[in-house]
Amino acid sequence: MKIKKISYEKQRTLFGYVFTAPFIIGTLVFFAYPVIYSMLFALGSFEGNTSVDNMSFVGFANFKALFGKDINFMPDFAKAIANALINTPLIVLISIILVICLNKNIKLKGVFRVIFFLPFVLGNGLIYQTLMYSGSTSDTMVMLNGISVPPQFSDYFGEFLTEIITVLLERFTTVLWKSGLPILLFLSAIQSIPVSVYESAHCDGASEWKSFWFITLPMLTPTILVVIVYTLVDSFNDINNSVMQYYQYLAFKTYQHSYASAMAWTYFLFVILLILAVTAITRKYVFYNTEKRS
Amino acid sequence: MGNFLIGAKNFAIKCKNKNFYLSRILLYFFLLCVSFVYLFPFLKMIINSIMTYTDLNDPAVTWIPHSIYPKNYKIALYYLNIHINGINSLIITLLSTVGHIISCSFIAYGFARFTFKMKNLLFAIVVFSIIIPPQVLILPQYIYYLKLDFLNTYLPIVLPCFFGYGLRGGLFIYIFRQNFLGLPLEIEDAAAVDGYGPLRTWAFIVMPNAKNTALVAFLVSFVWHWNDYYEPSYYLTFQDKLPLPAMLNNVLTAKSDYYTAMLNDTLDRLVTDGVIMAAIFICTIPLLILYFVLQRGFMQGLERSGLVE
Repeated sequence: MKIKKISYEKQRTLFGYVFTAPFIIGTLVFFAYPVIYSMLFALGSFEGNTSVDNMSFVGFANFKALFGKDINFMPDFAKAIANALINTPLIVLISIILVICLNKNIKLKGVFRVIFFLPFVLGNGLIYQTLMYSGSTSDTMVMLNGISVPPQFSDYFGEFLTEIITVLLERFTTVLWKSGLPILLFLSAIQSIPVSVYESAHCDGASEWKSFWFITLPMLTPTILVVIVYTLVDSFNDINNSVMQYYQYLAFKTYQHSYASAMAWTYFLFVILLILAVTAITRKYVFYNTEKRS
Repeated sequence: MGNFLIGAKNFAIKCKNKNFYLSRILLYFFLLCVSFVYLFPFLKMIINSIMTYTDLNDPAVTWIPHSIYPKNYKIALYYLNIHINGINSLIITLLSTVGHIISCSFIAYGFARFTFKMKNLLFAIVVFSIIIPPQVLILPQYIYYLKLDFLNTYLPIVLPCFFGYGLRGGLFIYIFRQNFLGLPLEIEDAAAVDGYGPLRTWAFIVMPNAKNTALVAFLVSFVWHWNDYYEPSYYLTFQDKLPLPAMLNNVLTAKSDYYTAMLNDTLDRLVTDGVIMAAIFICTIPLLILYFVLQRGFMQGLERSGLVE
């Protein structure tokens, strides 16, 4: 009966905490310990130690070594970031185009939808690794380059053009294989746009092109933001990405855990700033169906 | 969809000219090109999985094998240990997926509809937990679970999922929140007028309206947990506890060539590329089945959205 005496605002604040309580507990129980420990790793050194508990602290020496001595870090870093920044817009663009094509009134819609689901099922984990990189004995590694340039091509058009086309095709294939989840998310988002909006636009004489720009795209913006964040994170955390490969090498091949942690934290700091920047820029354009409640 | 489709059909009849057909042809061409990129490895996998050792090494055979060799599947099943590890995989995946759906939608509703002091900080932690790669936390996590005596149980994988963590749990919170922000406030207000508290509103009003997102999240979480081998391979050391994709590694390491197998007298269990492909195909079958089951649900999902004007 006490609850009734609390004012409406206070009640809503209380329920805010009730709903996020599992997350707060989860953070304290499962997340805080590993994160804090990995930060401590970055500031310490394991040299001469066998146990994690008696680690010696060396301050920012690891970070200094990272920027001062390491010749592998900066190029890998730049490569990973460039790759992510190129791939993300392409993935968003291509998955929107594909979803709009799929949502049209075409024949064999069901078949296409099943096919477009394949990259999502096969495109992650060990299955992807095995399928893409171990190949078969006769044609190793043709899997990823499902479309490759025939060798006769370079005889007619020269080496340079062939190289450009090969690079383009490779990029196209990787982008297509990474757009599994974006396609799924966009498909579900586009399905949830009420048909009545399109009907009234059609009655008012809007063309298909116009209703795409003024209805579909604004309604998709929340999903676009999700997809951008997901794609950026996915390509930054990809196990095959150059920085993560280097991390894997440092931490699990040469056992320089503290140095690897220092590298990882530098990398995150940048990634976090990048994602915050992207969210801040795109937030203005994101359209929500409801007015904000204070 | 009805009226809109009729409208589209009329529109199609009206412009039954060259332009319309040309655009249709281009559309199909584009879709077929993209489908080819997707289908190529999949078809290659199925074809290779029924090839004999001779066919696999014959450069003249690319697509049509001389004979069908189903024994590859028998060998793959033997190495995958499907009656134990398949069931492990199913238990881990189902428990974590259910945990993700319940906890993440619950937490996301708190982020989407309420204002409180720590909200921005907490949401920053959500984003942070998405960004941090699992490789970086694996060692401290391993030490932590070792202290808690959680190793060789499914707890380190399943339990965080019930608290919005686990395999990319933050992403599901993010997706749900984004969806809840887009839901119209009117239905929730109506529920409040009818005397529903926030908890009941979440369970009976918001979740049915977010069915589409919940289905997608279920599918995504299921696929990711099913394919994940990284964390389980650290936390589970006994082979009869491992999930299926970790057993795929077993198949990969068992690969040998014909002569070694002949010397070791294991020719009837020879692991060729065909067997590896068969093993991968077996691992993906449950996901394809799940997709066929769920597809109808979420493709027509929200055609009747909560508000009917």
